[in-house]
Parts: sequence; C-alpha cells; structure tokens
Amino acid sequence: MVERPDEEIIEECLRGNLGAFEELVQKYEKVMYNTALRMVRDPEDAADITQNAFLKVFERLGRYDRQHKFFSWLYRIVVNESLNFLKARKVTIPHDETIPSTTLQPDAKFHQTETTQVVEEALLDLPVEQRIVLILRHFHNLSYREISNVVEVSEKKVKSRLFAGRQGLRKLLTQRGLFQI
Amino acid sequence: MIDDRHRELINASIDGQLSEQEREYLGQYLAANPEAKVLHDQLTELSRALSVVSHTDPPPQLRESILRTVRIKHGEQERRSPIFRWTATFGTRNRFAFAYVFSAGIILGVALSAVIWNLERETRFDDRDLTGTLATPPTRNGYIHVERKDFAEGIVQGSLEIRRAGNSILADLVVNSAEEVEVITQYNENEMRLTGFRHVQEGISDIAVSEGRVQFKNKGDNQYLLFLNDREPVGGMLHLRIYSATGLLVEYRTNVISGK
Repeated sequence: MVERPDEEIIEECLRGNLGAFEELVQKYEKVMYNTALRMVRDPEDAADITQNAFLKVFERLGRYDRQHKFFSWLYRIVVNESLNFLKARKVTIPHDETIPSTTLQPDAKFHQTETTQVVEEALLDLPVEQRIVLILRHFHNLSYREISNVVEVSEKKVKSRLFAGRQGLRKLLTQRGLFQI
Repeated sequence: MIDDRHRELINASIDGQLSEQEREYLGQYLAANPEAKVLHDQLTELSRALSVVSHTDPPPQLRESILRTVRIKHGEQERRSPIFRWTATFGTRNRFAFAYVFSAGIILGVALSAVIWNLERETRFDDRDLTGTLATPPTRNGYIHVERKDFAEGIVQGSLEIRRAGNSILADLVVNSAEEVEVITQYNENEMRLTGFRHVQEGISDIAVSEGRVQFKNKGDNQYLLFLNDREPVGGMLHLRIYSATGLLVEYRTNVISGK
C-alpha cells in the first residue's frame, strides 16, 4: 500500500479524524519507540515515553510549523520527552556488568545480537548530547541539517558532537572488547 | 596532529557527505598522513559496528494504548468546547484574521472570570495543597474500578487497585508482610498531585510524603489509600516498589488512565 504524504494526513487530523491520527501512529511508532529505547534502554520506559510523545503530538498538531519536516518535529518531541524522563528520574541506567569476550562466536546472528547489546550499553555511558546525535545519525540516518533541527543547535555543533561521540564510543567499545586497540 | 578541517573531512567521509573532488583530496591526504589514516579506519570500523544495530519492534499493545489515550483526550476536547476544532487550526491560517475574535474573547473572559471567581470564593473551600490527615478526608465513595494487580513475592503479599472518579484517582494498596518492608509509591508531579493519604489500620512507620513520592514502612496486614488528582486530563504513571531488607521484592508500573 502506498503511504499518503504527511501533509494530507495532518490536514485530516486537524479536521478531527482520529483514523488519520492512527495512520500517523502506525507510520512513526517504530522510529519513535526506537529513539526512546536507545536513549533510555528500558523497553517499558521507552513505551511510556513513546505514548507521552504521541499524546503531545496530538495536542500540538495545530501548532506544527509546516516549514519544517514533520518527522523532524516528531523526533524533537520524542527526544525532549526522553530527556525529561532522564532528568526527572535522574536515571543511572543499569546494564550488565559482564564484558563480552573478545573472541566472538562465528555465528552471524549471535554476533549481531552481541554487538547490538554491547553498542547499546556503551551508548548509555556517553554524554546525553553526544548520544542523541549518534542515535539520529547512525540509527535513523538523519542529515546534519535534520539533526540540527531536532536538537536545536547549529550544524557545526552537530558535527563536533558527532566527532566527540564517535571518539568516545569507540573508546568504550574498545574497553568492552569489540575493537582491538 | 590532525587539524580541524581534515578532521571534519574524515567525519564527512564516514557520513558519505563528500563530493567527488573532496573524496579524491582526502584519499591523497590519508595516504600521506598515517595518523589521519588510523583515525579514518577506526571511525569506519565504528560506523560498520553501528550499522549492525537494527530497529526493535515496539510492544504489540503500544499502538492500542496510544490510541486509547488519544481517544480519551479527543473526547475531552470535543466536550470541552465546540470551537476546539476551529482553534486547532490556529497557526496554520492567517493569524490576523483572528485578532478581533481574540480581543473580544479576552474582554468577555475577564468579565466572566471576575463574576465566577466571586461566586466560587463564597462557596468553595480550596484544599489543593493539603495532604495527609490535615486534608478534607476524601472518601472511597463513587470511585469506579479500573484495574487490580495482586502480588506475592517472598515475605510480602497484597494488591494494588486503581479506581477513578472523574479526574480523581484512588490507589487502594493492601500490604501484608511478616517482616518490615519499605513501600514506595511514585508518580510524576507534572501529571498528578496528591490530595490525600490514609492508612486504614495502624502499624506503619516512617511515613514520608515528598514531591511525587509517598514512602513508608509496613509490618503486618495494612491498607493504604492514596488520593490523587490529574493535573493533565489523561492522568499518568504510578510506580510501586516494595523492598525488604535484602532488596527489591515487588515492582509494578501502571498508567492510571489506560490501565496498561
């Protein structure tokens, strides 16, 4: 099925059509949830954050500035919700103490799962502003400009946070045995 | 030493943002600069590792939970004002067209508020900041059952029942423990406010009520009633934890509206 353009769906939402809002949820639920999940790691918390974010989208849809891309606006809401959550809970996110062995099993699926787990844990040890730009760039493929719209800083700042984040993450992954020194 | 310009080029190369000319230049630079080559290779390796991480499917009930909350919100907005749908389009039309309507609305609003405020002042007691035994004692009458969670872990057993009446929420908590346990209930102060806390039996100690949190120690079989009001019309999360001397025994989170 061909997806309808966001503009068309938004128009219908603003006319009070809840079915249209359901379409938006269906379209963006997964990316919103995954953004929150990478930020806070806990699936239940990520689900709560996603729900709150969509509720804010519903409440504020009339105020959405159409000069910006709709998905950038959505990302901004879910990122802010995640930041508020982390701030409110002052979360020290627990993760497994076990550092994986440097000799990884040859099975590709196992390797992928293990790499994912190690990367997710290491991300949580990065400063939150670096974590956000890495998540948006690498997991959601946003451009520098789009990231700059979401986090509301200059493109230059985005680039410098990306660089610092990558350096930091590489160091953390080396400590966890994913890379050789 | 890698200068800022080349560092930026290396990063742009990782992100696939280089022009043909820049790529060619960077290739030559890396060939002549081993330190930069190492950095480039390391970042490429990192980028590959990150590309392995795939998206996770959200929990199957999440979409329905979102839509249920939105439906409640939508229903409230519809009831609140017939002009809601009209005002929802503000910001998408020429704002000056609304200037006269706004001005008239503000004048009318101020006049009505003054009248209503005077009436309310004579007839209503404001107990919003009172909690605990000082508050006007709330009662359980008129609350409708929303959900119930039973728990039995180690030395503790009991239940948490959520009931609701309009924008008021009643968390009815029963805790039965042979030894002393610490009970913590938390909620988001931005979503809900505590209007009353009562314990039906005696035998609890160290009650602490602070921002977004009610905490006490329980021994024996006791019942506690937490009365909360929505700040937002859709309620929020309530988080219950019970600790024994050895650690966390019970943890339960619920969205008091969706019953999730």
